[in-house]
Amino acid sequence: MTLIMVPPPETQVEHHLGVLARTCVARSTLEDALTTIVDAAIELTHAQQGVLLLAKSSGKLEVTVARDAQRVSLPLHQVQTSSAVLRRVMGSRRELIVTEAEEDSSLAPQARIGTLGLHSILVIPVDKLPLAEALDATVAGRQSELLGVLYLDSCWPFFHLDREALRMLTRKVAMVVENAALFAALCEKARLDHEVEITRQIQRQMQPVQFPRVPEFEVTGFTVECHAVGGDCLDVVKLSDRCHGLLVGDIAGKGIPASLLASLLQGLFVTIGALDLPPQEVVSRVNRYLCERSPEDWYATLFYAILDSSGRLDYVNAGHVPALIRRCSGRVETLESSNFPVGMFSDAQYTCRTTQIEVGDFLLIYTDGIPEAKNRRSEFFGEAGLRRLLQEFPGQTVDDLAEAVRAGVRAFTEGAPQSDDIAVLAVHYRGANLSTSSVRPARAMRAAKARSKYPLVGRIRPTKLEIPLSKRTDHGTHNDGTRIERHYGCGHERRDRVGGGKQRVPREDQRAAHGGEKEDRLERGEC
Amino acid sequence: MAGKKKIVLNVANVNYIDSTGVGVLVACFNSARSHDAALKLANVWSRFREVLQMTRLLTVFDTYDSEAAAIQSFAKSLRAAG
Repeated sequence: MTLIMVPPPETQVEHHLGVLARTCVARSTLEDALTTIVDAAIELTHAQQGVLLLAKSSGKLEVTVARDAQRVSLPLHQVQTSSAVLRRVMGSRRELIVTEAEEDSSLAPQARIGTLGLHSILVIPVDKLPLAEALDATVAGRQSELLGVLYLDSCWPFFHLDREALRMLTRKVAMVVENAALFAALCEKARLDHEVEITRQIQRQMQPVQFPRVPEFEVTGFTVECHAVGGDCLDVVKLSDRCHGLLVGDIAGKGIPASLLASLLQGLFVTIGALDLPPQEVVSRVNRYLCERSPEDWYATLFYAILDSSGRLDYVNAGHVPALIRRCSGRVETLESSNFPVGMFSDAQYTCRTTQIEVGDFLLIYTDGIPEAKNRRSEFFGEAGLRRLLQEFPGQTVDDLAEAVRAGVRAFTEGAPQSDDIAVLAVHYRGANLSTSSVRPARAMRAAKARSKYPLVGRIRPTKLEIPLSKRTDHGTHNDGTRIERHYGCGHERRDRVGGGKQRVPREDQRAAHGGEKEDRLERGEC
Repeated sequence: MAGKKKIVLNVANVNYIDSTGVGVLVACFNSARSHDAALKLANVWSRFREVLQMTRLLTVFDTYDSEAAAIQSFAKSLRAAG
């Protein structure tokens, strides 16, 4: 009969551990799980009161659960613990039993255990689980992190303590606390992932979905981000019936910070470029704005050009990789940088250069993600690789060229992870339309030169670029293994996850148009 | 600029610099200038030099072929100032 009423200690321990296991699985809150553990500790040690203190980010211990032997929660602010005993345990990281006989005289009167009417205190440190420590190689060899302490008060000495059972309880506390922290981190990551996804969608919508298709030239482009969002941008802005602004920009850095500045840069060019200013003045204004508004170590390299329907190309290369012209003969010419990047020096002066694009020529503007694409042997694709690709390019259309660049880089990298964002803008010049092109007379060129220092702000009337672009795609692989194919012109994106299914995401927000047409049309200026 | 503090950055073993690195370098240069210090670069070769060339930063930074030449340039500027 007695044996039935008082189960042997092993059975009691097993009972508590069984309850704990069920609690940790069934209970949903951290407090419930920790309360069950404290109750079990009280029962195992026959203590009158059990308190669990957890370490906060500041390093201080805070009472999280306080229970008495009747399984009643105590008001946390009324719980008294001996700060001196806690300090000793935090210092030694070993369990400590203090009885009245060996009470530390250094304890402040209010912290003395005698004031609680109790006789003994048992304090057990709760250390981070060894496995979790081992995963973090940076803390290998150091003392494991203290998650908290289990603090038990008793009115009689602690006899016959089952230390192994108590150690199991503290390990259970560590597991519950760490699981809760991991869960919280997971929730936070999910929230951030959601925000990144929204940022990615916004950035994608800011990229041109339709490029102007005019008789004189064809243009296409694509971007491939290294991360979910990128720091490269491109745009084509219709400035007048005869002129289009071409922009490719590359913000220093990658990821969300770079994507913010890329969006700003693109917006600035669309706005300032529409003011009918010479390219160097557009770039100067953008530079001054960025110097005022962006962090000191942020800057962007860019290539901004105005392409006239006659084939005249006025360009500013601001610290950017050289744009390339592939002549009909197969010869490749470079449009080198002669300027500082933007956002670096507010007093930088920008110079414009001019070249002539001939019928049948291709113009390729890109970011350094192309020449700096690396294969698995850490070799760069290089500008030489791109020049060779252009020289040997057998295609006839701008789409062929974009695909050749994409395929060339993909073949070279042999599946190596993409190390930088990529943007490519390709133009195929087909010749001037007599009705719209003209050779600018010297007088007009001189006039344009004279007004290059003075902005001419015409009244701008929005116009729509009504001709849709043929479908084309670009590809990218996100860090999560998702492969992106972006189809310009049709408004769809296909995301393929390795080993997973495919889903089509309809693009609702087709950009209607961009650019503008000036009522007071002014002849394009000389730089 | 002589400057109170004289800093030579020997980049002999740096054969690649990305855009973020250039940004940090320019920020360091501006910081040094605002604190009346002089920052010079020694052994700027390969891709590092190409990037500085492309961004016109070679016209901003004082670059030298060796660490000794960079250090010696401070002494020369001191003598010139004296």
